[in-house]
Amino acid sequence: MATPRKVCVIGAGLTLFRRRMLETGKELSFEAVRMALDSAGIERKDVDTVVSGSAPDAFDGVHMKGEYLLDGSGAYRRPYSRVFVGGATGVYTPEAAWWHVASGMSEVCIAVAEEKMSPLQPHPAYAFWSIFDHDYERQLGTTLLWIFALEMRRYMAVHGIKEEEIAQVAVKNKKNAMDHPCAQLPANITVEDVMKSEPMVWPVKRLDVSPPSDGAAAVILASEAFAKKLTKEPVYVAGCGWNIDSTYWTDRDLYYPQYLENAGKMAYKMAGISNPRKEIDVAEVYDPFDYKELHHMEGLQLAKKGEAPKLTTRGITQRNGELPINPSGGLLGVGNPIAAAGMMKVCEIYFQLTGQAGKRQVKREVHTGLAQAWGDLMQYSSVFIMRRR
Amino acid sequence: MEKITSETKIGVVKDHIPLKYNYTAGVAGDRFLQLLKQGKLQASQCTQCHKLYLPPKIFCKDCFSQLNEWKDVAEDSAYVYSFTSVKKEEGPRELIALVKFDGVEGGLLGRLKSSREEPRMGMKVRPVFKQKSERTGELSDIEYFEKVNY
Amino acid sequence: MSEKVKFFPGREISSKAMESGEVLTKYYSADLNYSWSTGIAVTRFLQELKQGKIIGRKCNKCDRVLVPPRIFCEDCFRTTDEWVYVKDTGVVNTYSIAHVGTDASRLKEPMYIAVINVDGPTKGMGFLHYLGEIKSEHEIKVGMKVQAVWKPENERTGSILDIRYFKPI
Repeated sequence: MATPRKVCVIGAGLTLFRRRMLETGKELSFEAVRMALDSAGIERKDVDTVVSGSAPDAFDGVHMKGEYLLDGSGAYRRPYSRVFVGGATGVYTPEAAWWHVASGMSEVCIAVAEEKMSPLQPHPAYAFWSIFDHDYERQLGTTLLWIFALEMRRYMAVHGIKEEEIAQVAVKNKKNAMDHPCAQLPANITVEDVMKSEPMVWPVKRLDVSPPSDGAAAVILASEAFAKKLTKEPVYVAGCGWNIDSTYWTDRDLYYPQYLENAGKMAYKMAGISNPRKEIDVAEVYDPFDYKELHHMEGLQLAKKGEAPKLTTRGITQRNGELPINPSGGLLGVGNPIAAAGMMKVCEIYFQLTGQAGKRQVKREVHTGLAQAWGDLMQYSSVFIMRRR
Repeated sequence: MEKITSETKIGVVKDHIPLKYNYTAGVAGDRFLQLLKQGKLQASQCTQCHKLYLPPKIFCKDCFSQLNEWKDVAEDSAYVYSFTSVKKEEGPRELIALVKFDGVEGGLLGRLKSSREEPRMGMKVRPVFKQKSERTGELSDIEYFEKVNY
Repeated sequence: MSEKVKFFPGREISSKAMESGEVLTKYYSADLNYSWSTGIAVTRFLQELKQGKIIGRKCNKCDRVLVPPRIFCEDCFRTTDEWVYVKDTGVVNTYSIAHVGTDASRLKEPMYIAVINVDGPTKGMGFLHYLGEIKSEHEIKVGMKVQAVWKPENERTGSILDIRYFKPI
């Protein structure tokens, strides 16, 4: 295989995440891209390709969202495509942008992710009903919460994990979000609050779950030569990985995300990482539910199987800990406009690596950071690793 | 592979997907529609490359700068860019036009007031608004465009 | 550099602003109708359910019995070889208790749902269904043995709902 050329991240931008925003999807995309261009110190004329990422059309209520969003994405009369891998889209979008630049086809590529979940009535959760098999699952009234509750229960049962241990993640992330200017649900809560919150689909309770949101986020990728014109110390894309498991989800043992292990290994290999636990300084792992942070730490080899709750209890995943996880506040605290939420994580790692995270800056020195997202029928993972020299 | 020739021979699952949406028009769209409700037609302006956009946008799709300036669209600038006629099951034949405005990017879809004279491309028109009490903040607040002789 | 990421754009709107007309709203609804062919493998699966039986397909290369059946093995990526009946008993792989419905509204009575690993297919293979005849939610356990409770024959339609639920045994 030919060696891909080096690619850098040169700017990032994101909008507020809220239950309902006045901006349309195009306007949200514009705001995020505009901010990313400004943070890079470049203009649209410097950009030669654009990748847009957005989850199901059913949320926005706009069929063919790719074309709908293009003007606001900065793609007018540019090579442009929309990518879609469910919830994993937000981290997959900069990976698609990476191919554009790594291949030599493009010098500067915008990666933007948008989601506007508020139009769908009575609740965005409704959109998920039609993702299930129409021949033998939909008849049961299957919802997305069911399958996550089933996964959470299986994870708890295999390792003997208590709900209280999982609730610590919600407490940590909502607290971290208090320092995020875009956050929708920052809060100072306790494990007891999570335990007492109303059961939705047990073991999933209200405070175990991230909220539906409107929002957009973007990063700009560029060739090393272009990036070096802007800064002496660019942030490099060190590794990309993605992987999918079977859609026959009831065949899988849900306690462990094997597809994520595969995606992680792909990214680690590219980044030359042999011991992720030692070599990753900060990680933004996908946390639409609190148990997912733990599940994903294990899939990413940042914790041994069943060990992530213990690391959390010991405070290792706090911002001042040895392995800070979700210093942004994650989806649980900042909000979950699906694709934009994954991209928010990529932005956060960029901010952490460039020392722009403000109050959220982690205590330890940061050289290598990882962002990860997860989606489709609990089967897809995308992993994006960035590094500064 | 079997070609399906009859639904009775194979298993079929029938179901429906009811969808309900409550849309808002966005930063530019909401202002545009609120102005229409007042009987005003405004475009947003790019101060960098001097383009006017209708329907208005908050960004210039070309230079990608933020648009904060709004300007009245000159009433005598409207003309028929293209038109077609639509026959619905009920009611008379309707003339639908894409109306553009001199010096403005974009345009508006609207009905043309029928007259004995056949419309033509480039024909000068002007927007006629519904009565104030009937306006709802939608594009249909412009009841139709009618031919004018300037 | 950090001064460039101080201002984060966006304007939140409240439901009050929408109700009062301060922000204009437009309501649309649609009802999309579909007729899905259940395909080669699942058509047979549903027909067998109507007979009170659960059927799978076997891949002779990896020796797995696949339930619900499929005409291809996704791993070996070849056509599956034969139809195999499996038992209507199994174990609970995982379960949960639903208090909300598809539109996130509260249910009057909680629903018990589970992934059932039916006996007969390859270990770990299963499908989603309800649990019934549960006296207390505390009696449900991962690994619990269960059996299908079928609808009376004349009420079956060739649907996954021809099995009412799985009960503990």
